[in-house]
Amino acid sequence: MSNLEISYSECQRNLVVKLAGAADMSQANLLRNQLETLVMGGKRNLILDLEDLEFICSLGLGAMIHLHTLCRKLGGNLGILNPQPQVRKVFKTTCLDQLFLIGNNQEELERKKQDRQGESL
Amino acid sequence: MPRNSFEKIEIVSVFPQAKQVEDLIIEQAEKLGYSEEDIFALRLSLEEALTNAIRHGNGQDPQKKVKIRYRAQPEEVEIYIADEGKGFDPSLVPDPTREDKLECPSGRGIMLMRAYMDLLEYNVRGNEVHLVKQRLS
Repeated sequence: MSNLEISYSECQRNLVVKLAGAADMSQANLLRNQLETLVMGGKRNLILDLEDLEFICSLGLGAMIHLHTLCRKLGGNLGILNPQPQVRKVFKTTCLDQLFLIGNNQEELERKKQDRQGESL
Repeated sequence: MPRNSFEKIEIVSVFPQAKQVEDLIIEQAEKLGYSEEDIFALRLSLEEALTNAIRHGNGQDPQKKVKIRYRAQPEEVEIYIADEGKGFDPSLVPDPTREDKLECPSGRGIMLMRAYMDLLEYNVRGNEVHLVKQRLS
């Protein structure tokens, strides 16, 4: 299984972070540190595109939770786009599908974001 | 059919060596024709058990060892992973799916192993985990 590859693109006011490979024990810190630097630098609206992420363990989940909390604290948010079935099952097993906004495309993600904002008003 | 004997490996408490062990066991399961779903479950549980042994058991002290015994057979893969820590009581680990625990960035390893393995048990001291994954089909 390949190492974690991270690439970036901007879409409206979101930074889309494409993850490919494995968010495993040897790569979770890389994910956490690289993205934390970006969030602290002002990119507080993140979308993690997981279409090419083949594997995630609890350390990878922990990195995503940390980033989610940090984005929220700074007034932004973190969304998750298009996880593969096995990765989606990990989110469901850990009930993190209740914490993260998860969508199959950016429109669905945006809709869920607005719904959640409405609920918290 | 006679059962294979266990392979034994000892590593120091660093992640790159743990990854090598993980890759070795996964490679054997792949050769035995385990499904993608089984392979994902095995990889995930090995990650969690080895991470726990290195981080929590041995405190990432590179002087301390992790001992692995495993047996990959056509019908099941069986793994023991032991660290040099003082052990712990797994029943005291809080349920990470509780609403008040969802934002906690750690504490999901045991529940993931329990969800993805057919057997998860600890020795009395709590420094050795025993995992069994049976072939799905």
